[in-house]
Amino acid sequence: MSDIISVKNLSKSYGKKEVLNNISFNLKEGQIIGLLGPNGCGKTSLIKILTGLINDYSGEVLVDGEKPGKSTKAKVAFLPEKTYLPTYMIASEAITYIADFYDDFDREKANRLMEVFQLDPKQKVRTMSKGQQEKLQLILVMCRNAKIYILDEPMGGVDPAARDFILETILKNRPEGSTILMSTHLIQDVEEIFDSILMIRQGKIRIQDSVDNLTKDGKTINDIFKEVFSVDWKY
Amino acid sequence: MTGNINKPKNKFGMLLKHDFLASARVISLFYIVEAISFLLFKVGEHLAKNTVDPGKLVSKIIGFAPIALIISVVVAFLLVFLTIFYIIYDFNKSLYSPQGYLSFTLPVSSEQLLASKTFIYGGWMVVSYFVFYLILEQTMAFTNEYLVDELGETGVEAGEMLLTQMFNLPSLSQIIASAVFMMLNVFTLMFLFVATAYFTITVSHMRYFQKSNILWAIVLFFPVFSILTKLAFIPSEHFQMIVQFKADGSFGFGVAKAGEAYVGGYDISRMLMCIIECVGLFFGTSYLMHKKVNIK
Repeated sequence: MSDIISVKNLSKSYGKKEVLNNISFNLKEGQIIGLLGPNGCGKTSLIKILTGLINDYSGEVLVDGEKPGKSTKAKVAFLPEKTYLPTYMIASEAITYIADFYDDFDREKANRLMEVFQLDPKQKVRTMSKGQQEKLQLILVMCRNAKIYILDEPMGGVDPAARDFILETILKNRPEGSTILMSTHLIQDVEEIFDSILMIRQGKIRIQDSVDNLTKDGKTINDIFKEVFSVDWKY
Repeated sequence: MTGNINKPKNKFGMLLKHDFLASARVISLFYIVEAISFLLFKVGEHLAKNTVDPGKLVSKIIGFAPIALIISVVVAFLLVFLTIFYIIYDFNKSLYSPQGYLSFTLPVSSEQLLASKTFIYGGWMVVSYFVFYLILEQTMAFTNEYLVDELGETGVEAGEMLLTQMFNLPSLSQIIASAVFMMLNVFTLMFLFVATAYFTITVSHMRYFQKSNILWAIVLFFPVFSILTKLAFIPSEHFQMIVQFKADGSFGFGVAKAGEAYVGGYDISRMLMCIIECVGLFFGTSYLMHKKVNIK
């Protein structure tokens, strides 16, 4: 397996506050990678750099061999934590919008999933509940035949039943050989799907390893997470 | 990995399409109001001209045609301002609200994002200006008949005489050419206004200003716009680039020293300086969009 994401000596700061401190790692193609860490550890900044939303950083970042930009944006399907669709659009317009910009978008699959998710193509985003908007955004992302999926807290703020549904949708609709980088703090719910783990603490990589290696002595990823981050929560 | 599902499309073309559709949703409403008031005026005008009493038009002006025309002029005037207000509002919303997560992850460059908005929004601005101009022209045509009745000369003749005296221009074609340059001057100032707004809005979304971005955008706009408009006058203080109108209706370009008197010409140095500033603001804004802006 070749490296799909390669990061070398990456640092990013906001004024005097350093959020990523000289980190380096490589992610293998075709894997599902868990990006784990507490709030404010630098996960979102890293995701923004990989998706081309942040461009002023030091170090080298390569996504499928290229610096994040116009070309890599065509290969990366990104699901942000926020609901971002223009509220004046109806669901079918949102689908057309994405289909117009991404050549890898599968419109038939999107229409099928709209029925499965019980979403009305004529409904305005403005009148949708937050859950419906998240479902629509998930369809827009997972109906792309992308090389890389970057999912920022895809299950954040939803009930446990919906979490299973979201997870199933991601796994079922992921093209063979694609890579998924998923940030989450709900480790227990998803740890069995990860092939490898990237743990960040205070802007530094604390652990980068395969799940098989990390769990060979019987510990779960959740146990390891608690070990690494419990120091931040001691009196 | 599966191959392409769709036929590849021109991404800049798609940006233009979606920027047009998004803005047309709101801006077309202004035009509907304008069309209704103009239609009312035309109905009123028709009724005024076809009443049984063939008396002077001045006696018919009491009807609703002039009221509808006044409304039409006011709406056309507001159209220019509402268009400018809307395109500034939409620029901020589509790029720097959570919608920015969608806009900035599209497979296009920040220059393309900005260029698409510039073309579409610029187009709306020009159209709104022309609608205003057309409505004014209709007002003149309507009052023309009144002038013929009252003064014995048409409004065009009266206007031509007035403008010829004001600008010391010998012919109507030269007046038209001068009016075109005056219009271009207005356009460049409008574009400079909007380009400055885009630039300062973008600056206000840099990390340092982000906590109070609306306040910063307003605070920064006025000094930046004021400096740029002052800078636009600097070349005129040293030399004037003049479009010279000749007696045979043709025109040519020339340079005159600052303060030097010229007849039948129009100084375009400020307009050119505004264009240069707009280009500078375009690249400055797209650089900040690409490098410095933080989407929250």
